[in-house]
Amino acid sequence: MKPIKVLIVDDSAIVRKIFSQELAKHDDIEVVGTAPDPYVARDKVVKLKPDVLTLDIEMPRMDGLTFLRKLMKYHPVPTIIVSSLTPKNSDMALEAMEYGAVEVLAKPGGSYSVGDMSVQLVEKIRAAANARFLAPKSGDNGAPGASGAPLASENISRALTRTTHKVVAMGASTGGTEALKSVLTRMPSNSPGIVVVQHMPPRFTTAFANRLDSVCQIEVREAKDGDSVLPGLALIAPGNYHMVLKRSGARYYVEVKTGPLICHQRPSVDVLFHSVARYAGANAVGVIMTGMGRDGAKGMLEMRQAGARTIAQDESSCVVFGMPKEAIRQGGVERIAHLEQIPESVVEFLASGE
Amino acid sequence: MNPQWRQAMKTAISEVLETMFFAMVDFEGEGAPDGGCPWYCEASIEAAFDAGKVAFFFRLSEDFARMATAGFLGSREEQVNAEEIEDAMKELANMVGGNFLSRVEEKNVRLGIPTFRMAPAHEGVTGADAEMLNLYCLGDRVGAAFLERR
Amino acid sequence: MSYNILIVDDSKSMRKVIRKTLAASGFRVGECIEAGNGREALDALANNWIDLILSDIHMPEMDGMELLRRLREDATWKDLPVVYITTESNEDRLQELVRLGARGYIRKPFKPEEIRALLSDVMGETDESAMAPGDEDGDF
Repeated sequence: MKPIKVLIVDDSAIVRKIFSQELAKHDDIEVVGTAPDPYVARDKVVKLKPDVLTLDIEMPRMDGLTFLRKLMKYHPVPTIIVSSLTPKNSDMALEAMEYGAVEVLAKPGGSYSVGDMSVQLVEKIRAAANARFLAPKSGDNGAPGASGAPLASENISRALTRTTHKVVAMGASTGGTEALKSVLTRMPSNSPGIVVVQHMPPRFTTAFANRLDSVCQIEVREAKDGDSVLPGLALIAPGNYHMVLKRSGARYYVEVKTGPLICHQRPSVDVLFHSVARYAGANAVGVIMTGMGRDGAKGMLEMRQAGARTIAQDESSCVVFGMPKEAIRQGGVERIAHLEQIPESVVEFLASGE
Repeated sequence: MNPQWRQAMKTAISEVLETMFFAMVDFEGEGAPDGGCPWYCEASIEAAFDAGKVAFFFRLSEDFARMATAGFLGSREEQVNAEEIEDAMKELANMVGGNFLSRVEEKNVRLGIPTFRMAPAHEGVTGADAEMLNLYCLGDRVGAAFLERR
Repeated sequence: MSYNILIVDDSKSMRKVIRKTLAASGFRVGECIEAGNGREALDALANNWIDLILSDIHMPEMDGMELLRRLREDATWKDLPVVYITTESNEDRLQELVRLGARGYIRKPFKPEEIRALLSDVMGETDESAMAPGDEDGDF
């Protein structure tokens, strides 16, 4: 197998050096070049034709976002955004995902060591190398935006009567920020409570939740330990913590807690889905979406066996058809749906069995 | 022509020719007005400002125009074609006009679009109040620049 | 590294002269693309990754000022440096271009050193050595 050709774009010589050293330990990855600024990067993209780019979002002379927009316009390459954990940079990283970046990686710092980062970096490079560029939505002109109008809440309010005991669980990874945005922006305000795991570093999940909240009819926020799962609310698992669903009488709530990495991930979709199978059983709808790896497949099977209705995002609309594929293979998936059909499918499943 | 304008004109012509055309001209020389040249390459441009309007005319012998064009484009003289001479002459008018306007104290200056023609030597350039600057290269007269108030 | 430059001027000869002057200036030029007016410049931008525009002001069809306005409205090009090479001597008009976001202007006639100095400044190059990526130093 040919190694994945990686170009490292970062103004810090130390980051370039550490990334190169860490990646040299892996036979399936080859660092073909490094660039200290976007102009050098452009030349090297053209000359070296890398399969994956790591891009520092904050650079001198031309900011990473501007560079990314041009890159995606003229020489699209799957790109991993490398960013420090500041709120401003988290926002920029999320904007970068809207312009076509497929992953975001937190720069080492504080308790987050180079070793931690190295594992993540390798995983993300492998995921990015498998990413496909999806055709931009018509009339989109590369700008971010929701894919469709929200489902009209009146039309489905009857379908969603007596659903306070229902819960929707979603899991996604590579390409998931945009896919989740597409689904959540279309969920009506009377939707049952939603719990979401998106593989992302801490703080980025905060920015992600805030961003979704500003564009969705439903309320979206990063989950805190003990938060109730309520109709019209989506809770996003915070980075670096697992999130599990619990039930107390008629009330669902979440616990946010630390724990081992599951499938190299924390938060892990399997951890969430496992708890949903246990505490919500047939009252749950599960959705597994775009991403590399197999996180969520086992949990989805458990949900299905507990009577939940389950949906996997189809291959054509996935940036990486990994997690849905594995979930299908393990037998936990009831329906395969295009991204744009997922909201309708969720509502249909919620309404059934009443 | 008032002395300040006259000097501005000379400076503009020298600067543009030297910087962009790698050609040098003098404004005095012994060479007789070139009688043997039946046609001139003529470029002109109008300039307007609050106090009035002027027109610049540049009449250069074809040999000198060709040499200047070659200098401008970095080509060899024998490779220069008529279209390039026309283009280069228009740029000359444009640049000298602009350079001149930046040297005189006039308000709200506007430069027109340059024109070019091959002008017969016997045809007069301008009206009676046109000022003429003869242009010499290595002692030979190679043409003239005119400034006409309109 | 080098910069891809779009030269916008309605005179083919002037484009050629600017191209040659750039080559002689020592400024690091990658691809040089030419356009005859603002409209053609926008077309060229659709197909080429440009780092810097050198534009005339007075041009038929779409002039240099309108080109700048269009660029500033486009998310991809709003920060693209535009430098004018012009015979414009009206200081007010030049200042208006600067207000609209032009990064500088050079009056014709121009010298290679002037072009190099302005472009280096516009592209944020302080000096030669600052551009050489050191591999041993740098901040984390």
